[in-house]
Amino acid sequence: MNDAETSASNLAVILGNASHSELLHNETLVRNFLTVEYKATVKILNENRTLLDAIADRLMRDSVLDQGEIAELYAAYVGQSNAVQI
Amino acid sequence: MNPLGESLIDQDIDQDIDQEKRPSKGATPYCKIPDFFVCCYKLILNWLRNRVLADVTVAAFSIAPTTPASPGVARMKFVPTTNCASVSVVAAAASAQHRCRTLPWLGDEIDNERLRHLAALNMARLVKRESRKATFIDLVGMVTAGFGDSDEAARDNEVLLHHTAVHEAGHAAVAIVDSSGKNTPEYSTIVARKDVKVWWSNPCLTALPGATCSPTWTLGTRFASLWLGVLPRKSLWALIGYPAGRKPILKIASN
Repeated sequence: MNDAETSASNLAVILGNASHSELLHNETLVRNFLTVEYKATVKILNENRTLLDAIADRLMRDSVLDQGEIAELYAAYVGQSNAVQI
Repeated sequence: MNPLGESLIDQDIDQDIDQEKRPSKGATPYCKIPDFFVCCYKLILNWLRNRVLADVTVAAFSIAPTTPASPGVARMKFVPTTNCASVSVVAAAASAQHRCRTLPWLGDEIDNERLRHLAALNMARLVKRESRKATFIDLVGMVTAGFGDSDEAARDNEVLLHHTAVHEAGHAAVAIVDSSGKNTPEYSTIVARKDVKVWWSNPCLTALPGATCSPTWTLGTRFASLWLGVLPRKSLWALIGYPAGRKPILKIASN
């Protein structure tokens, strides 16, 4: 686990009139939710770094990408991945 | 906060869609796009000149091929307002299956297909988010907010620009990979803007003196963890909402 998983940097703050036990319960829910989602997100980004870089590079050239252009980048990425597997 | 602009993950929560499916749409608020507001302004001026041509069909579009267009969204209208505006715009649900079908009235003023798409998308989101019909005042509000928010100077910082590009690319990559290509973000942009508070609020309300804003994001996706990783804790609060008959939705709002 890295710092973001164990620290409060990805922790939501619960406010409201809930009781202490409810706050504790909600905090646990939020912590678990964020931990799971954080891990999944980082995993996706690491495993698809090529796609990430391709979109970022394209954004540097064209400040706005529409849905079709993003889909094209993804299609090219999938094509490359399949070619490598073959 | 990154002055080049955090992206808006607008889930457009649809009661017909199971939250577990998490319709992912990485997007950036409209006021990041100065050109878009210039076009809107021209659109308004054109409308003022030609307002005798009432009830002109303007545009038909879908909000996204990957998102089922509900009749309530697809049948958006520009309805008469208190200033006697008489423009009526109808997007028929039947033709909402085709992406970005923008008709000449918009096309005359917005010659860029992307911007037409964004204009249509933004209005559709407004209608859906606030469960009301879009009005001419909304367009005025967009113009007002847009001109006040763009931050051209921020583009000079290439390092920050690249940082933002990677950040926004992350939203897009996660959305599209997580859904195996089924939920492609409608658009992604790194166009600069200054203040995140304005775009967050209702563009219609911010244009009206004394209006109050109720900034609330509704996130149902794993993007939440990325957001919480970059936003100051003191500016966040979160609630676990339990809509009737549905699983919890994480709601996050900025102070």
